[in-house]
Amino acid sequence: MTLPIERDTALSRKAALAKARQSRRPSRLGQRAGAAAKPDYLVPGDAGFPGLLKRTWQQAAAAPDLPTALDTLLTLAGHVPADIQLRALPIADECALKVLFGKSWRKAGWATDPAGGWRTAGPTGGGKAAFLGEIGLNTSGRVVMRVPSKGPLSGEEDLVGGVLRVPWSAQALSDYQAELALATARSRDSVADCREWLAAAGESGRQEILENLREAARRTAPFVLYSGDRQYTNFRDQNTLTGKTLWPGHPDCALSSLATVPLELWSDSDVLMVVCLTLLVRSAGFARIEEANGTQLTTDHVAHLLERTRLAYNSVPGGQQVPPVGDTAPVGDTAPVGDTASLGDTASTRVAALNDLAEAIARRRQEIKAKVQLYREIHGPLMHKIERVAGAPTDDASQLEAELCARVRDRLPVSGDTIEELSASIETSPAWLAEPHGEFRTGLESLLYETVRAAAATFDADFAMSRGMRSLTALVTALREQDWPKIATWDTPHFFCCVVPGPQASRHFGGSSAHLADTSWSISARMQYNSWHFLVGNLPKVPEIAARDYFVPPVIPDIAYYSDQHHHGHVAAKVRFSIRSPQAVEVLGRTFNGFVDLRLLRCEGLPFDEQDLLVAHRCSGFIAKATSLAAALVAGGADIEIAAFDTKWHWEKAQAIDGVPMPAPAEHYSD
Amino acid sequence: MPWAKNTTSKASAASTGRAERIEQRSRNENWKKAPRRIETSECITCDLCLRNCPPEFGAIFDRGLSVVIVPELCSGCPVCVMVCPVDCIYVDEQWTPTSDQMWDHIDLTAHIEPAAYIDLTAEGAA
Repeated sequence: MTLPIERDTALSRKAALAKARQSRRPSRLGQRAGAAAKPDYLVPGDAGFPGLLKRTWQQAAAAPDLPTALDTLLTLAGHVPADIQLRALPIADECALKVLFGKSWRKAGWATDPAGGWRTAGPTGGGKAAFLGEIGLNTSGRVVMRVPSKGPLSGEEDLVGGVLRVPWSAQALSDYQAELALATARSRDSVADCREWLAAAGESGRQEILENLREAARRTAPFVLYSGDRQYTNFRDQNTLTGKTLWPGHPDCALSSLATVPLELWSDSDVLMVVCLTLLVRSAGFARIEEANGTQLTTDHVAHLLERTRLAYNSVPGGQQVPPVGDTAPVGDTAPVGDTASLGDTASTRVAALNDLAEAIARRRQEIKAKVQLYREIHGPLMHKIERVAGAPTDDASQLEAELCARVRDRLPVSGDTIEELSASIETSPAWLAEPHGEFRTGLESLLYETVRAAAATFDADFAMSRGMRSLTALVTALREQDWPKIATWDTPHFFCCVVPGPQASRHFGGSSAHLADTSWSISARMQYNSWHFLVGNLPKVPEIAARDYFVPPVIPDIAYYSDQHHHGHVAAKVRFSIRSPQAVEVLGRTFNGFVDLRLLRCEGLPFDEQDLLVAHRCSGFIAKATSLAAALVAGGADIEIAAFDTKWHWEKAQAIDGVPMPAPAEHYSD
Repeated sequence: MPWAKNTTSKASAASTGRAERIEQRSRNENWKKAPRRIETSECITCDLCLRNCPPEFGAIFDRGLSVVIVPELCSGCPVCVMVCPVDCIYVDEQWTPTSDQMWDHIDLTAHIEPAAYIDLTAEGAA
């Protein structure tokens, strides 16, 4: 078979063109691409996030009382932690929720008693309403409030449904006034502090900050962030940041437009956005910004995130513990809670102190990352990420690993009861990786398939997969020649992804093995894109690389919950619960982060847990070890190209897994 | 991908007027083929079509979560169809005019090489 990378030179130009025009959708093999009259797999217009918001609103509107309705809205009907939504509120809404419902992510910094619960008035709360407010849900998924001084929400927000009326008592109004005054003053002080910090950075320093943030927006997954009522995003709504829609320098990008505007003309929202993003990046690199997704960008919020991180990092024994932020003149004595109830009450939110804390946290992260397994928990509906320090593996993990090893050992020339032992086994005798094995042209392909297959069964996944680069030979050659521009031109067909469905996966796709095969291939094709998108992030930033679209390669694994909400591919493939475990590979002494990975996916049922992740990450480490060994064989003269895992292969595997092996439909894959 | 180059000579004579089409916000009446459209339900947002759309057309854009073909700029040539890994691009006989908001965005690309903005885009659900 010819790799689907370059024109097949064994064919005439006409035949090669005819071959290229064949559909690569498995169920359409043999047909001409673009010739189908209509799509096979239409999904409803409100599939994914819009549908989730609609259902959330319907459930909230049907709730027996306002507190229940509010809980429904804050959790998006049980799909995200309420803490994220509480941190999404602008000042006035935050004060209103605290006064009316006793809900807040802070435990200090309030003017009135922070305890208490529902304190509305009028028809539903008892007593006469002094003001009739509203609560709603906007199409970004944020809870929105009509507070005194604000008009009806229907005129100001893009609402999912209608509004719920919220009667305010006179006491609530009074308390709200006190809270709002305090919070507004605190915010004003914080903005002034941020402006001073930016002014002190000087013109060149600010330009450097903006350029770094533009690069962060270009090179990492999308953001959805708030500053007051303003949304900063490069995702699904009207884009306001550099990303896929807005190229660098686009006038709609807030970061680009600030570059030529004097600091004095920056809005308060812009000032907070620039300072807060900078603090986040300095605490761990670009990826930390995603931990603020769906929340406000204020120094209070950043202080909360950094303090939570400090405590998590300090829970790792040994090394240099990070002290709490030590400013003696805090702007506010905020000490937020949420999932970090032990936070102190004296955390400073002055930018200089937070900057010191961010840098100390970054140093501590470097120190602990080899000792413990860091990972991210992803709440898909809001794309909100939380960095976690994994605990030690338990007996459950050991049992999972033993099952996985037994399955792998049964099909491959390896020995050992643990993944570490399997890895040692291939390290001792790697030569078979470059030789034919089983149904595959190379042992590496066989190892990839059998490991992924074993993972699908062991983790009870609907899909398991592993991606990588097709030609290690071509990569080694290009690296030796330091031909970075050539590597930059390699597009997605230079990469592969082996997707193996679980035995019952077709039940999620109407019981159709053809739909299952098409979904497997769609996932594979998208993963090829991900490999393409990460590879050059590991190379020197010569002009051809810098100009290329790429992401900073991932280095830690993650667990995602309800991630079948946004991307069309995630909705179509029902990517509800997943584990992503990226691993680095060594090629000619160069480390390629995120070069391979193992991904596990469940379309419904229970989410994966931390123990699953620990074993999955060891399993992907085994694949990475084999790939590094294969690269070493290539460096020694072997020729290793991954020819399998194309569209036809995914058709045949899906058919076989469904129980009835079948050839590809009308085979026109040659000239 | 070798195919984009192969269509260039045929298409270039008829499509040197991308800037004019953007200015007039209209499709070339001499184009016999209907434009293409991307079915979002089946698209995996890999951008292969965008990266391979011949520069004289520059008809494909990222727009939020979607990749879209601007029908006024699409001649109906087959390059995007040939590179699409999931065959999610269809003939769009019933195309509707592009919105003013989208044209405001497209306007910015009228006088730059598409590569200048295509290569500089970034995103993804990694």
